[in-house]
Amino acid sequence: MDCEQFDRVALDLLYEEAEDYARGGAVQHLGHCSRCNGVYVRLKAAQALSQFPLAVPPNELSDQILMREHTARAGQGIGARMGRWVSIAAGYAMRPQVSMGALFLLMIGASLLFLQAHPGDRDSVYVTEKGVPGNESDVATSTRLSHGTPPPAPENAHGALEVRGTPSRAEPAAAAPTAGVSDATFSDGEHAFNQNHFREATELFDKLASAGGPRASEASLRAAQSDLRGRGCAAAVERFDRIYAEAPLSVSGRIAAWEAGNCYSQAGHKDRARGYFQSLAKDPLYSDRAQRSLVALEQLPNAPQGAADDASSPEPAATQTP
Amino acid sequence: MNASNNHASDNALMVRYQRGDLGAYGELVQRHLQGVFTIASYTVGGGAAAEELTLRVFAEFARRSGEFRDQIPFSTWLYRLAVSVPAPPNAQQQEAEATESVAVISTLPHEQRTVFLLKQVANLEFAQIATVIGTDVQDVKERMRKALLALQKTLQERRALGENPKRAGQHHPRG
Repeated sequence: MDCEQFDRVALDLLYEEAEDYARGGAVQHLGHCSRCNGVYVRLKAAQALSQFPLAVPPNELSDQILMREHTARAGQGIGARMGRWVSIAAGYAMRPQVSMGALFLLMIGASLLFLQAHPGDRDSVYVTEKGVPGNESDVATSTRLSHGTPPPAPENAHGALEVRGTPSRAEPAAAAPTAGVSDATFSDGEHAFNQNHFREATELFDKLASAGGPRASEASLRAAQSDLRGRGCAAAVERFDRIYAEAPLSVSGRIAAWEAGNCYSQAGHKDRARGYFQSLAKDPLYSDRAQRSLVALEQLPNAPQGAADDASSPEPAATQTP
Repeated sequence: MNASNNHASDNALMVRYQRGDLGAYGELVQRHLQGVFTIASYTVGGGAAAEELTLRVFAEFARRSGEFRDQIPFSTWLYRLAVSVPAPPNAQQQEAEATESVAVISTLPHEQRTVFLLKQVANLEFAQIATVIGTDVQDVKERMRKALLALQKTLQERRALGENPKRAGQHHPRG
């Protein structure tokens, strides 16, 4: 400790308010510094001289103080008393502990509000499968298809789910109408399909597919499905083959594979049907159905030789759709 | 009288008084009456003026009790009132009747006298005094150092002139 530091703690030392480490340093400094020793001795003497006595209040003074308090309180109106309590309450409210408590309660309350909001209670989420006709019960077995080589089974399969209002990541363009393709025309095709005007629907979707654009593949699939419903598997299966070949991992490609597999299965072309179903067996959406179809496929009799050449079918074929 | 040592129980009494307990108020008055009265006596010269000033300090204490916060020692809060309540108008006349002790202390400048009284009479720590008068601790210590040396000089001069310094130590304004 130097002299400057000692001057800062000299009065603390004098009135015994110095911390232990400061006291030790000051005492050690006093042992070898004559200047500070002189200062401290002088202060000590001044302190000793400055011991003035306490004044003794008169006995009646405390009574007067209490009387004034009593009188002042009795004379207070309701407003003044309320103000006093408000002042006290405000004093407690301004404390940091109260603020922290209020913040804690706010957080707990907000958490409870979030916990009460169950997903699905208010805003339902609709999930639809693209390109799936409503009636899955009709299975026609009389369609005759042309023979061909079964398509190679794709190694990967993506889900074909689409959340309404949210474009699919796998095929975002197919879910969102964009420039080049008229929504009204697409809607017209859907309307014609729903009215069982399959030829008209096929033509409309074919126009959209040939016009190109991001929904072209979707239009191709819908055209193939319209053709399937209107003219049967013999006419439509090549369309499905082509869609699958162009984009086997797309949503349209997966649906086309399912449609084609069913067509080939109905026609008794087990190898080609098996190829499609096996390609769908790894797809989470089609896995169960594809496995069942594979089992059912093994129970079918082999198709007669040359049956594929007789591709004309008088009745429209309804296929088992996903 | 050691206000700081009693500050925990003083604060508890003050909280009780805030809730309407007049007995707690009476207890606080008894504990601090002598300190407040002594400061008032050395400030205005004793006598009726000191009594009136003491009454005003405790009246202010009662009036502003709702503002007290339990985070500071009660003595700090009370003596802040004691040094801020203005003296009654007749205080100057009372100074003419002041005793030797009052005469010696009155030679100090106001800022030194306040610090000296809060330390010597109210026995507040330097940090508490800094809070009471609104300055930093080193400034308080410097004022106290000057006050001590000034009083020493005054007392030595009076002693050299043949006055009896012990007379200053027998100051009992009304007691």
